[in-house]
Amino acid sequence: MSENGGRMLGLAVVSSQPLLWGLPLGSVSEDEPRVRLRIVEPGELAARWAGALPRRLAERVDSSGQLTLVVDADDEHGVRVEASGFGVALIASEGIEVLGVPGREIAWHRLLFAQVLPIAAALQGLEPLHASAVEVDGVVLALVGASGAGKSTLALHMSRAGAARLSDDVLVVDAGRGGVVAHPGPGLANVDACELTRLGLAPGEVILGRDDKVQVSFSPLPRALRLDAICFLLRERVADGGVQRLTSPDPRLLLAAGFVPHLDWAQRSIDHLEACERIARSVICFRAEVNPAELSAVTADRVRKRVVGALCQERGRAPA
Amino acid sequence: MASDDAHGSAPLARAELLEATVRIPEQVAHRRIGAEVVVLNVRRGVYHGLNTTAAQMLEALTAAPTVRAAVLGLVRDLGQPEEVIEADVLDMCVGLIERGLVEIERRNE
Repeated sequence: MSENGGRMLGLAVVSSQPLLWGLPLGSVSEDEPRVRLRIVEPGELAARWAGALPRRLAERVDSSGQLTLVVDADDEHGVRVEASGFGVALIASEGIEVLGVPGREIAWHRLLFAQVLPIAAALQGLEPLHASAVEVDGVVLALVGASGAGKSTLALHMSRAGAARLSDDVLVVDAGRGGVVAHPGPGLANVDACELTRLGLAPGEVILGRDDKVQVSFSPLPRALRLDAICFLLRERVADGGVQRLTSPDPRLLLAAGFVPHLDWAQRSIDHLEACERIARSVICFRAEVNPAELSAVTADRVRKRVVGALCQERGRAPA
Repeated sequence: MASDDAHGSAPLARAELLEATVRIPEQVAHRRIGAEVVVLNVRRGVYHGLNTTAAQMLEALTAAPTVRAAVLGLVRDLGQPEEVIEADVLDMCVGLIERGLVEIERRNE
């Protein structure tokens, strides 16, 4: 198999075909998490899955009741992900191999980024969070929230104000004993169309597609960084002028921040619990109120000033 | 009071529970997250949060040879009347057992 691929989401992805929007693969060391991605014929994938006794982990239906996404698992055979129009993938139980039957190019990559590779990362002991991440004035900040909370929008606004983006919508961290490290994600963001129209494209950004959101390419930071802060985005009143530092992180918010809650392996649940413990110990947590009636630029500016400002002050530096 | 894997044993009387040993079964994991201890029953896939006092009680229960010994230790540490601590600890034991988070070994087992 010719060595294509790239780095993203904490994984060195070695692929039989080019992997778009990833960082260069370079040399892959023996001890780093890696995935071998093989594009195969549907028959080969079906043969590998034959004999599985699958349990349904997740499914999504559209407004007409049609299944659009199905995630099934079998302890021996792995995890099978199928999304109509996007493709089918079979992730081996240890997460080190993926067989893929791609759909259309951009759709296939979106399936990889939003489902397949986060699952592979989790099976290898990394921790995918439902978060976008930016680096501002040397502070690496994860914006955590449910779908529609405003993660991508706030990250987009912060990037226009000078922040560098690390990842969009899924942030994979390595919550090891030495601290929490955040890994770059693919350079593909799903952005609200109105916000993008308001802000326009930045140099180097390209619109790749549209559905309910706009898919925009961007250049993620090229290396893993220590995660300094997490800001939970909430659609509720938050004290302290809308951004509150948490002296003690709410375990419910951390536990709910997992990106792959549907993976039901016992060890996976324990890994997630341990990751949350380590994150709570070493990452400063905030809550921020996101009010849909308020301009996102205002919210982003408040979050940046309060969160980044606080950490810069503690480090004895003035924020830019 | 039955654990996840109970084979239909009769509920324990409070006196009997006081002389029993509490242990955390293999399918339960617990970690401190912030000010709470989160206890996970892996088989049920449910997370439970214990506040500081409850976490202290769980630690005492699993470290002591009997529930009664745990109660006496907590009376010392918390400075509360024994009858209050005993009632709270026994109530907590019942709750933890019902949720499959601890198992009980009766004294004569």
